[in-house]
Amino acid sequence: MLAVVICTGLACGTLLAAVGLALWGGFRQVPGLSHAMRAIGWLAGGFLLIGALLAWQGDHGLSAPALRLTLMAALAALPEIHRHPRSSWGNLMLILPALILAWAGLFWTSEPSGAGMGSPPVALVELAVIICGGLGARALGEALSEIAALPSPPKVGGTEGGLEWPSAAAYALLTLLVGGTALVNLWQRGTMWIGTTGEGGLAGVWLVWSAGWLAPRQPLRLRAVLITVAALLLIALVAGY
Amino acid sequence: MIAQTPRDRWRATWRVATSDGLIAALLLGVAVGLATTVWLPQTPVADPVAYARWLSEAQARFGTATPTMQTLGLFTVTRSLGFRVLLAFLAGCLLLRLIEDGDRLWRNREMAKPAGEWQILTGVCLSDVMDNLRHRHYRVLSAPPFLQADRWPWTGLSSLLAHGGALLLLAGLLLTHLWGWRVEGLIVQSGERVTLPGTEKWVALEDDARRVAHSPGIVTFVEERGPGVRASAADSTGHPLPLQQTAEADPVTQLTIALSEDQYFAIPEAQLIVRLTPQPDHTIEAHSPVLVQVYRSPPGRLVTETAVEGDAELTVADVTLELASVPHARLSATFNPGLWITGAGLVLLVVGLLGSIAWPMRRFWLREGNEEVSGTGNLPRVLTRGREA
Repeated sequence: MLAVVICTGLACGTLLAAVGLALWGGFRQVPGLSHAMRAIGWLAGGFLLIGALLAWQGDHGLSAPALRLTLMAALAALPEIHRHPRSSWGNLMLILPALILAWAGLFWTSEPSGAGMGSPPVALVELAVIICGGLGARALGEALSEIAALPSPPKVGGTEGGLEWPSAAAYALLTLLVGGTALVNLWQRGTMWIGTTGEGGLAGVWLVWSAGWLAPRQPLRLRAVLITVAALLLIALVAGY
Repeated sequence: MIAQTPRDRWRATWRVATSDGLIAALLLGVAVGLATTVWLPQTPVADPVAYARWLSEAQARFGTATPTMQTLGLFTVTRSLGFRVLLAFLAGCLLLRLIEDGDRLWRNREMAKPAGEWQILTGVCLSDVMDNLRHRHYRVLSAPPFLQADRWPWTGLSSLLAHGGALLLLAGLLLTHLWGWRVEGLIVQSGERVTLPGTEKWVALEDDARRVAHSPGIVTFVEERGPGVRASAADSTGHPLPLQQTAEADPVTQLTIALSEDQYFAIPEAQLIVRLTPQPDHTIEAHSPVLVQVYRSPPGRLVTETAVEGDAELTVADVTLELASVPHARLSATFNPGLWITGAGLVLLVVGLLGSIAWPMRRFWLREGNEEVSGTGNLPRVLTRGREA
């Protein structure tokens, strides 16, 4: 467990450094800041991934929520290859979900394993749910960054593009998960809905995300707020899945 | 003040009914309903045992507020009138959107009139752009001096599939609600055939308790499997002794018991009480061991205790107790007339949504004139990069 704590702790430290850099960049122009932020993102994502893999491989002392939170944080921390330029507040908002998830993972890692809920993820569906949660955390960062951005005239080129890929990917995976679960239930039990908490929660999140996806393009923040709500619900659901 | 004509009013109503905002609001309403069901345990309908368990849990959790919450319908959200009205409105909106999608798909076969403000695109070569767009599976229509690029028919088709699928799904759910039924917590022992209450349908468990046979048109699901016994007793002369499970029950010479929990029966003539229970510290499966305890009554003293697996014979005083293994299954049976419609709706909805994520709505126009290219509509970032820089 010590190795996991060290890796997650190092990731938390590097993410905190990234927050500091983002804040510094908000007050004064720092050349090459975006490159430093990207490097820190890779470093933190790497630490978290190593920590999660170590925990997954054989550390049965680690509680399942800690593993899920660490995996989600790793997915949220890894930077994009082609990152679009953002304001310092935008950069800060992008890091925030990964930092909070990593801290929560670290907190749960120190909890005794008896207090952990459920068991470590082994099934493909559970893994897909965690990946969905990680993508949701990325989408949360994007949405928060959009909310934090100062009002600006509508951009040419619409809203489609690299900025929304985490949201699109999370929604696609969520659609597959909810649709697949419903189809399996229908085939096995003759009913689409068996009323378990996880199933109802995922369907609820999917509906909110669909509403966010369909929400009018203007005002822009309405969409971002709906996706923020859906992503927060998704992360909470995945942590306790 | 300009008077609104009836035609305008209809047009405005149509626009509102097919707007993204309305469907998003309806989806949020349904999501709130579902979130409530996650938070508050909902009343089970098909299983009386589950209902009793739910009631005691709800009373323990919510105390005196339980009756009020029950009156407010918080434990029957998905069966409430409000939720059904919400789904009905959703179905109405989906139908209108489906009609609009069909119309839009038909109209978009041809080039549309350019809309929006024209912007000059710097550093753009029209022939290169056209090649690039065709390479990225855009449809390019030309009506000099304009060019129109869009993702017809995939965008329209995805939307059509998603709306049609959602509508089929709701229709399937309606059929299920009107004519479907579900029986939960049904206990069937191997070799037994049970007629479902209030119907002519039946379910049967095969001798090895692995396979469930049932009448056509229903779906069965085994919730759990467990041990069971067929018990009989005989005295020293081989004469069968009557057995009784309760004081009010008629004495029988053979009892078939499913061991989903502790079970007791008496052999009144021998003054014996037999307790049967799945062996503790064992996973409960069809053939898991059974703990048998025999008490003398009166005075209630334990005479013998043994764990048996499979068929067994016990001798207590002059009584021979025969226990044959008859595993049981706890299952649910569902008759769902909307099964195939719901399934088809789900598949279409998922395919349509994934399609709309892969090919989102995008249409733009380009125009070449005075040695510069200008564009309008939902222009891709690659074309506006030079302008943004």
